[in-house]
Amino acid sequence: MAGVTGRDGTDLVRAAAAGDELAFTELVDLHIDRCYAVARRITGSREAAEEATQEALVAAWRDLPRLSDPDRFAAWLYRILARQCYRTVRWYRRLPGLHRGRHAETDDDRAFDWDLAAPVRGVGFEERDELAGAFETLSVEHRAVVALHFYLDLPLVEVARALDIAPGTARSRLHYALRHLRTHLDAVRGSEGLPVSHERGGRRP
Amino acid sequence: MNDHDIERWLRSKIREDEAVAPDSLRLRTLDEVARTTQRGARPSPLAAMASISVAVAAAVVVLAIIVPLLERDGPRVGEPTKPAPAGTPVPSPTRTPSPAGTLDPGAFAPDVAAVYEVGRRSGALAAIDGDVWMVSDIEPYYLRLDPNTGAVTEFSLGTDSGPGAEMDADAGMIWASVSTTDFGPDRLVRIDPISGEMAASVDIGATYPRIGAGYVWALLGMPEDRGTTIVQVDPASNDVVRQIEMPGECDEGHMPTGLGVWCIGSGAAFRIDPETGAVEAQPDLALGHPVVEAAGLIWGLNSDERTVWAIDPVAGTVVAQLPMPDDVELLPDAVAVEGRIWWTGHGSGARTPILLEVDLEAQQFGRTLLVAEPNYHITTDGSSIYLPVLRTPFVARIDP
Repeated sequence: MAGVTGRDGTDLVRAAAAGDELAFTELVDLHIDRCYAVARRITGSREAAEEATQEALVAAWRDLPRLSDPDRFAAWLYRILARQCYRTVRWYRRLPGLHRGRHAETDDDRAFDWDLAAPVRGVGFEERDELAGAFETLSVEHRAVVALHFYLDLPLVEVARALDIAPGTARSRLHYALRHLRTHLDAVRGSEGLPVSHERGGRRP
Repeated sequence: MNDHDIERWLRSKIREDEAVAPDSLRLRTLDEVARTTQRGARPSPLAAMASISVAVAAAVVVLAIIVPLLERDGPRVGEPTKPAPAGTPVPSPTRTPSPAGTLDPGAFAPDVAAVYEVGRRSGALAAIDGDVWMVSDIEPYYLRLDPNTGAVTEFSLGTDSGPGAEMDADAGMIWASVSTTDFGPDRLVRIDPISGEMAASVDIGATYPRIGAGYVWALLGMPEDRGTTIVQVDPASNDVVRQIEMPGECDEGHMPTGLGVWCIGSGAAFRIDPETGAVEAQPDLALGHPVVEAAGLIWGLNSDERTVWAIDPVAGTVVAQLPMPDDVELLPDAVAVEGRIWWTGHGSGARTPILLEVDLEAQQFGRTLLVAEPNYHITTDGSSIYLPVLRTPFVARIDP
């Protein structure tokens, strides 16, 4: 991936580590959208996602000279991001009266979450609606594993490193998260008299 | 739907999500990067060029109101802060910045009277004896702001400390809660409003210290924790004298008054006798989050029901329940100023930060002031209202 000056990611990381703020600006431009998207999924809040993304990128700038392998910048950045998401969620939880309903979503947020115009092969509108709702009910720890694994395509070993947990814990969280999503969907369908899927196939995590 | 369908849906979401990162986030981030460099945490030969880049870009978006303030002659964060013992002034950032009026408050938000740059990212505020005190919400510092001169004195919470979180000032003392580095509850600290030094540290993981009824009252743990235990600290000894477990979940907050301490939630309400610790249930008053005491009444917010409520703590009765105005989302923080309450929130469909007036005599909503960011932890010195501008090193003053 190259920045606007044509330098590739590794060159940008090296330059930024040496103090080149413009190079870091290019790195920000390359990564900020994805960082925000991942943070949005983990925290479940637009406001918290902005906070976590900003803090992660600032921390990355501050600590970049300590990154030994420039090729691992992205994984390193997402590790910082995941931790910032945890911190930010805890920060918001300190606000009494806000932990319930504080982040009531605006219409735009709902549109963000329920982008029903985007087709997903094999998944109908109602199912996507239910699935997104089920995702919100996962804990921040489970959402983090799911987001890093599926959004960023990080292997579970990398996910575990990013979150400072054992690989087995990452695996079990992913398993639990998928099971929770399936169970939630089945419960919704059952309550609405729709056929409940007994399919348990698909690639295992 | 099987696991594969779920995976496919999850992977598809990332592509949709990426389109919505707001431009203001990029600009704010680059601005903070430049500020980090200026603090000396990351020396950069290109800082000046980047700053210009940020300033130019900011002119076309929301941050255009922020960046010009940074470029003025007002305060800058100076040299790298040297480690200092907890509670002692940090020498280098003590400065005389931004006398009120040197920054352009009108560019900040229409109803802001003055803006102070305080050098650390804003957090909870408390006012006492003409000074405004603040804890940074992400750095282990607290500071004193003289709103008349704009002078700021900064104090360290300790090099290994997490940041401060909540703060209250009354009866000649200041108390703040301090977080662990990952924002868990860590301890309470007492700050001397004269010297600014830390007078005591109470090693208990409590949040939301509130001064009243002769004691300091805090919530053990985090507000979201199940069950509620109120911590009572005696300011004469700075010791915890009681931990009072509530017999029900009054998890929305606590409010000391002259007639006792109230712990109120949506499901339960209790009055605590400050001398004996005895707890009396008040089931009819379980209305939601208590926010501010004004004119002898406790005023609070019920976000679920979208109401602002008031109770008479003497009679134990509900005095008012005002439906929140349409198109307004109020937050659980407010201050009482000269017969009125000013409530923080959003207007215009959750887009515009506001202060909404409640006329105490008429018990109805009044004027709406346009302010900077959505705010929590606001304070008043009895005439002006001070707002931490979240995620920035600014404090805004409103003269309602």
